[in-house]
Amino acid sequence: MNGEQKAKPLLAVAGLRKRYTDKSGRRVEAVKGVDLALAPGEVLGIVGESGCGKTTLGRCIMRLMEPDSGTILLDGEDFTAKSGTALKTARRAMQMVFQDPFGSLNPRHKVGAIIGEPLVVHGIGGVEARVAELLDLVGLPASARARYPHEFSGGQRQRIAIARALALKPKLIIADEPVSALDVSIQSQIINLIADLKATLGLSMIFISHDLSVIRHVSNRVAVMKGGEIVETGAAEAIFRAPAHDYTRSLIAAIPMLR
Amino acid sequence: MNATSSPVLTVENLSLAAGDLVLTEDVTFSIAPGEMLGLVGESGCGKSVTALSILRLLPEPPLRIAAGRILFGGRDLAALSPGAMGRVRGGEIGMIFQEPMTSLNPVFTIGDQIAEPLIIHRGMKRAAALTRAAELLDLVGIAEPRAALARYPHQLSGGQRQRAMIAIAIACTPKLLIADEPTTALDVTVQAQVLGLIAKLRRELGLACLLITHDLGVVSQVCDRAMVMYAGRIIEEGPVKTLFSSPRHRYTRALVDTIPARNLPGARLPAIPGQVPAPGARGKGCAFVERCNAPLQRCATSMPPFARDPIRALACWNPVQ
Ligand SMILES: Nc1ncnc2c1ncn2[C@@H]1O[C@H](COP(=O)(O)OP(=O)(O)O)[C@@H](O)[C@H]1O
Ligand SMILES: Nc1ncnc2c1ncn2[C@@H]1O[C@H](COP(=O)(O)OP(=O)(O)O)[C@@H](O)[C@H]1O
Ligand SMILES: [Mg+2]
Ligand SMILES: [Mg+2]
Repeated sequence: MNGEQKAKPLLAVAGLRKRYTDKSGRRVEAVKGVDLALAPGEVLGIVGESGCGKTTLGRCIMRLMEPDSGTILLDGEDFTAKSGTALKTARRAMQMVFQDPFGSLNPRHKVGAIIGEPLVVHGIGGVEARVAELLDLVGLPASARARYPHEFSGGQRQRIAIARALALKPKLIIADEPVSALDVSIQSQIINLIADLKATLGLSMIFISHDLSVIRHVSNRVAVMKGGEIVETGAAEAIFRAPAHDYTRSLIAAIPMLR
Repeated sequence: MNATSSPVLTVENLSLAAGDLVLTEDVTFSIAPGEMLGLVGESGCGKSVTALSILRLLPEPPLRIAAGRILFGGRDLAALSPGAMGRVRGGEIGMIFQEPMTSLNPVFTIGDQIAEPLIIHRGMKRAAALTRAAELLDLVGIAEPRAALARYPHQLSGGQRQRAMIAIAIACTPKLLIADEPTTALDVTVQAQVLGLIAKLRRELGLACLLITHDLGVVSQVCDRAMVMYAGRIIEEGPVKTLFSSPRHRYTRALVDTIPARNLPGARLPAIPGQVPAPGARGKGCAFVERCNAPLQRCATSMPPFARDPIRALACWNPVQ
């Protein structure tokens, strides 16, 4: 698409594989050789039914779990080969937002400490001021910093998680089902927030969801996953208007639409 | 549906409370024989407690029926003794919930769980009940039903478990099925199959169904009529064909407008500001007033009546024209 292929990708994943051994000793091939690329400022939607490997893929790219094989180039540098301080530094460029903002926010810490933690971990100063800036950025009142996660609704908790993910000014956010646990009215608030952040901060994003309508709405490009593989990838509109793969067609046909 | 046939279920002015806290108020609706009625609304609006109250499965106490009647088969279920209610539940009224894993018993086979209501409510012998259970598994689309009788819940996939739940729910050919988010935990393709199954059972068995979901698309696809619940009250009701294409309540309108699929890809979504007020945090007037885009002065101070015409019903002082 007009020069898009030529732009240097922010992220390039090649041949990524991950296998689990489940409780009964059975091998589960969760991700079976995935290739993908993400241009700067782009939102790549990853969609597929439960168990197809979306979460595993996202976590492997972040190296929250180690892939069995494959390479991950972040800004042209081999992210897979890094360890120790080099890995810690490189990690600042990539942050993750999860589905369940409650599970990912420490219930015993105040919101200010939660959002500021990545700054503290990386020894970055000016935490107070940055936390205030982040709260404002995600549409939370300054008073939120002195409260605990349980005092907030699901949508507000997701704002807290997003603020925390933005603390280190990452270039890339991997969001795993970030709106799936939210009601439609709250879901649309968070989708708008993500769109605003993308525009103002020039963020790139991998947006993982099982919800095709949400994926269509937020993504520039879409990758459809099935059984650990990407079966179809392309511009979002092309995929939804003219799906090439039978599986994509069956997914689209199954969306319950308002008549 | 024939509007003159008497309803299977009539709920009148039902209010539910937890101690002094009012959870739902003045809920009134009825379901005709063979009708599929949808109940939609965001989480915390009171859909599940309404379903549970009809089945008399509310955790009483702390929850209780504070007012109203639940008329079914010539009785008021709200006034029924637990023993009498036990004969209705699982016999004349079937139920399915979101998470079949928590409603199915992990230590009994699927066969025994389907046979149980037949033995209890129909007085069938175990062998006959198991034969009928296999027929039911076949009806709900489980392959090799005889073999499936011997399986345990954990040996089935999510979609199969929900089919098994449906088999249990319809075992005694109930007149009414209460389905609370029956497909919410399922993938879209499996959801489509399960919804297709419910529609088929309704055609073949004349089953009436109260289908509860937060997904307007699901309701629009399978229901005849639907109700929208907000902060414990039904605020709009009508045939799905017109309810979602020309909503009159400002909340229904906003809900429909905010759905991504109703907007151009990438466009800013018409978000609804704020959130649903919790029980106890609702004012005297319409609970939607603070999020509404066209509130009048009286909206905050007085509750709009739930006004009914022959086709639709609405509780709004300033409806969409
Ligand atoms: N920790 C684990 N141990 C064993 N199997 C796992 C583990 N995590 C995920 N899996 C399996 O890997 C596959 C992919 O899972 P996941 O990445 O969570 O998919 P998705 O996010 O698309 O639902 C599934 O078959 C799942 O059961
Ligand atoms: N056991 C309970 N005790 C106290 N409050 C409850 C209980 N169960 C539900 N509620 C409250 O009742 C309201 C309606 O809940 P529910 O019917 O589950 O909503 P929905 O199904 O529409 O998401 C909520 O505010 C909820 O917190
Ligand atoms: Mg996942
Ligand atoms: Mg519920």
